[in-house]
Amino acid sequence: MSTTQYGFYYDAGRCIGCRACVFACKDRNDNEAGESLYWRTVTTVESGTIPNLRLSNQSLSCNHCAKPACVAVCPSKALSKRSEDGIVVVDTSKCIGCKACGAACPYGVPQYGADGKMQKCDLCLDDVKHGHKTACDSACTGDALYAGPLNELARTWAKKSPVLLAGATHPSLLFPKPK
Amino acid sequence: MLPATTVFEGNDAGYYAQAGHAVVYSEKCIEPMYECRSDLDMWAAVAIRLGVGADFHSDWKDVDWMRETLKASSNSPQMGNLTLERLQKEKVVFIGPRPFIPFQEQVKQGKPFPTRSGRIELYSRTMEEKGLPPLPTYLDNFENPRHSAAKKYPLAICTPHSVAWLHSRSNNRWVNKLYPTDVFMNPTDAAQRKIKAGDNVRIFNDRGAIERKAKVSERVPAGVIAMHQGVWFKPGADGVDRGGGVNTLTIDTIDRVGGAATYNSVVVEVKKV
Repeated sequence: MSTTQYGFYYDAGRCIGCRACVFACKDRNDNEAGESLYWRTVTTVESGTIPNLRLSNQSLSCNHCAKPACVAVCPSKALSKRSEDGIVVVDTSKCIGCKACGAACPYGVPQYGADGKMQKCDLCLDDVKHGHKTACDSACTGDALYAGPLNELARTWAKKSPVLLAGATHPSLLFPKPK
Repeated sequence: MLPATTVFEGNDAGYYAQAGHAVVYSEKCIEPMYECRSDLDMWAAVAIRLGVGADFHSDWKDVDWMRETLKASSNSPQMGNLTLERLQKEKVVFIGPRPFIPFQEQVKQGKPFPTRSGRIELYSRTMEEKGLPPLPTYLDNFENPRHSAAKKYPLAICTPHSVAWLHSRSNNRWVNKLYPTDVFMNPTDAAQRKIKAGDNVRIFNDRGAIERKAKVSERVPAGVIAMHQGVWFKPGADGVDRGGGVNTLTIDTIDRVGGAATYNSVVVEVKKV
């Protein structure tokens, strides 16, 4: 259990599905467009019919879970959860590309590169360590996505009564309490 | 491609008529950054190279052009005695009466309106002489679901702007992957044509054909398909566009009343490939 758990606050109600977060992440992390690898994805779901048509967006990278299934299942101890900030990271020198993490993650987060190794969101560790924002947080055009320590996010967004996403792995994802 | 300056890196003035007529000074905030040069700078350099530097006043800076332009328009009654110095001091100078109420002279002094009869014309003789309806009338001239062309091509196509790019620019390969120019089709129209989401389809009329994937969605009503505009035309050897350049299908004719483009009046058919 880490002292400060970092994670995300995401308000789907404000998200316009522009995918700026997707591009910013891909750009910052140098993911070649040739590989269809996205550390952050946005899914848009339609429901209803005109005039009651709804588009719902879901932006997702890694939930840096409190009880990460990927860490638990990794046979080579390539995956670990940092004690100082709860960010789940992969040590590619130890990764054997077995894809057990992909099977275990309830959110389909682990991605596998051309090298066969696992890769995923690391909450822009280099930037965050120097007090900067994550790529996705910086890029969001709709005031919908924020990254940082969960307790700080909860305080900033207190007026939205944020709740943690429920799940067996205890994802570090806050969202406004539904009315 | 040469880097030009932004509005912040030079002086200029604008004229705004929306809320009373005003001349607004757009003051330089910062020096040109990096190696950017203003349009004026670049044109002056071209003029010198072409040997017409003197005619172009290539030694004038932006404020010199503004000073001379205001001097040249000072004989117009509205501009009055507006000088560069006054504009630089006051930043916003309203010209003409305030509040600005249109047609005061016509209403109060009986001056004629700027029309042929000198009156406000609800019935337009100019239009009548052109063989067009003199009163506002809907003319169902171009392709639409009621047009005879719709028997062969029953679907109207609309061409919205994508959120992800600007006309023909910024649609790079990353954007194109996440925002492919698929054809939005209503489920009823798709089912009728045995088209499922993700199927390759051909969209066509007498002017051309495009092949893309179908996106079955409730976002378009039955009878209408949608394809985002701005995408580059990529014809194959068979002449069929596979880039999604929707202008392959649109009409080039302009409307005879106002000369407007008519690319929103187009009918097509879609078939599974």
